[in-house]
Amino acid sequence: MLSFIPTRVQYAIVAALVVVAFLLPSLVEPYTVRVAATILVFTVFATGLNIILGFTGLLSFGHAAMFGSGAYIAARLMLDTGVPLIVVMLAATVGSGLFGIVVGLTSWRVGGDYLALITLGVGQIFFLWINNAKDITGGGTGLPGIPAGDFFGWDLAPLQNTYTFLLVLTILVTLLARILGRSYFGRALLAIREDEVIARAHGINVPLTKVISFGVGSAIAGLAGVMQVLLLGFVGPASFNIEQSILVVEIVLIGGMAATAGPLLGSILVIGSTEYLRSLADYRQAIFGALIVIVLLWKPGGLVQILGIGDKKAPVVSARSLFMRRRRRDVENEDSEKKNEVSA
Amino acid sequence: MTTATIDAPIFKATGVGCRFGGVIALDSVDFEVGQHEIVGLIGPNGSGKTTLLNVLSGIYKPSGGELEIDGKPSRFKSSRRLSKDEGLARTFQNIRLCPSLTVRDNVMIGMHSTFHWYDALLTFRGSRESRADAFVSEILEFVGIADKRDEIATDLSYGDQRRVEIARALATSPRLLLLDEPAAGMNPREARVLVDLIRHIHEDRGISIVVIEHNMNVVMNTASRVMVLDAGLCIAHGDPKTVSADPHVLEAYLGKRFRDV
Repeated sequence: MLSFIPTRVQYAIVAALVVVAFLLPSLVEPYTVRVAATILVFTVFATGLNIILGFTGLLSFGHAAMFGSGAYIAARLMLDTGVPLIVVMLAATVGSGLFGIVVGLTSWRVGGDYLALITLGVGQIFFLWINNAKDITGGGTGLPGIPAGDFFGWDLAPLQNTYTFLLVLTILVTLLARILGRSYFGRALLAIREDEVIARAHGINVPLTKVISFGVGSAIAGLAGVMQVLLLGFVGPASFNIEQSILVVEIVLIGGMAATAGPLLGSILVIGSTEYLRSLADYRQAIFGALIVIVLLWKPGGLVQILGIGDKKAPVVSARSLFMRRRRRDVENEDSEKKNEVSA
Repeated sequence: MTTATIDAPIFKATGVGCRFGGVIALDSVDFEVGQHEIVGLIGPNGSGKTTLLNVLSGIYKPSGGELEIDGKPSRFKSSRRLSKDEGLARTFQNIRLCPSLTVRDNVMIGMHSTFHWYDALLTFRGSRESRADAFVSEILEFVGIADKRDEIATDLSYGDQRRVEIARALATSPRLLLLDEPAAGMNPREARVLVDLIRHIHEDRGISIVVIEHNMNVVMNTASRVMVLDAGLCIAHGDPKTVSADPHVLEAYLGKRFRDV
């Protein structure tokens, strides 16, 4: 759709949009800024899942747990200690990353649907834990009144400043994900998604790479958790339930898997429509469900492919392959050889 | 069993067997590849050729026998280790490319083990990434599909997809290349081009090659040594002329008609 625009012009448009994003607080009313900030949080959250789901092709239905662990680590540190925000962010990112590595270790033994079930279980256990560990997490009421703090003297209490800070973080994370995705690491992840036997036969350490992708994806989700705390000044279990996990899977699928702009476009559509089409709230899940079916069947590259803004070199992903059992061609081949032998 | 011994083989298999339940895919096979030679592997369907290749490249574990690389046992090495440390590369019988990736990215996968962990963040001009990119362009030039560099792999013709597979194997800078039916589905002209390519790989890059093939023209025109498998056993072994005249081989595989050729 937009692919006729020359690449240079596309970059210019992106630059202009970034400038508009920075000026947003002085252009629109606070409510819109708050929605935009929420979109940024979910963009980072989805960028984390995009590494696991979009690149490595591992279906995770428990990503809200990584998001939540980052948020609770940040909340606890900000309430109890006076450590600088940068330390809080590092702690939450590393903590969530380690949590993700532990969960990712299960991918050594299981893959596909079973890994999806395990991550679903992890998400539910985490949700039950934050509801019940009242001393640490505040239980069902959560932890209110978290001070916004400051970033090297820059006061983050006003919404305008918080928004700008989140925007900078989002741009940095998106750039990092883009660089990672185009490096040898991103190619190794894509090779694992497409065919593990190929990956192994060309010197890629498949189990280790899967675990690292889980770690990196979870660390980014943990950072999104910190952003959520900075934005809301509150953490409660409702933000980290199974619906959030499914919502972020929807964002990645609708936005476009393994694409830089995918998480942002998906968040704009999913979060934006949630905020502005409240009258349709009852039909929201049905609409997203239909959208996912459309994306899976006809436009596997999601919004990025529909808008035609993806890099021409970037792979268009077949999302269906995630949900269909991959045929083990060589094994089948051997099977038929065996049959021939038996019958001969 | 007929076994010609070579001085200092890079790859040696002794009495290798492979079973799937009650089915004996490989009974007991001796196999050697020396420095700078092309070995042809032929035999009827189901004779265990691909199984042998899968065992050699570490995808299947043998149920018996010994494997050696440069005189060191390698039976328990994974296909990743064999590719990374021992310079073993292979192609697959059914083309196995990453379907949604470009030709360049497919070949770049073969370069994986040349990168260090920190290269994941260094993708600027002059980095290892861009040097790898130049190497990939050179390999694509070598196999003759430099113009298809930025196309999606599965959009290519069958013959070109084969070349991408070979290019990807070459990108690992192998010492030994295992080709599983590279000429399958090719017309005679494409097969002749393939013969030239195999010879070029062998002569220009000094890579030893094992080639499984049903197309006898390809085997006879490339291999310096041929081994014939039937029902998991080696039934003949030697230079192409001798093997194609062997009565057992004519009986089991080539057919009587081939004697007169």
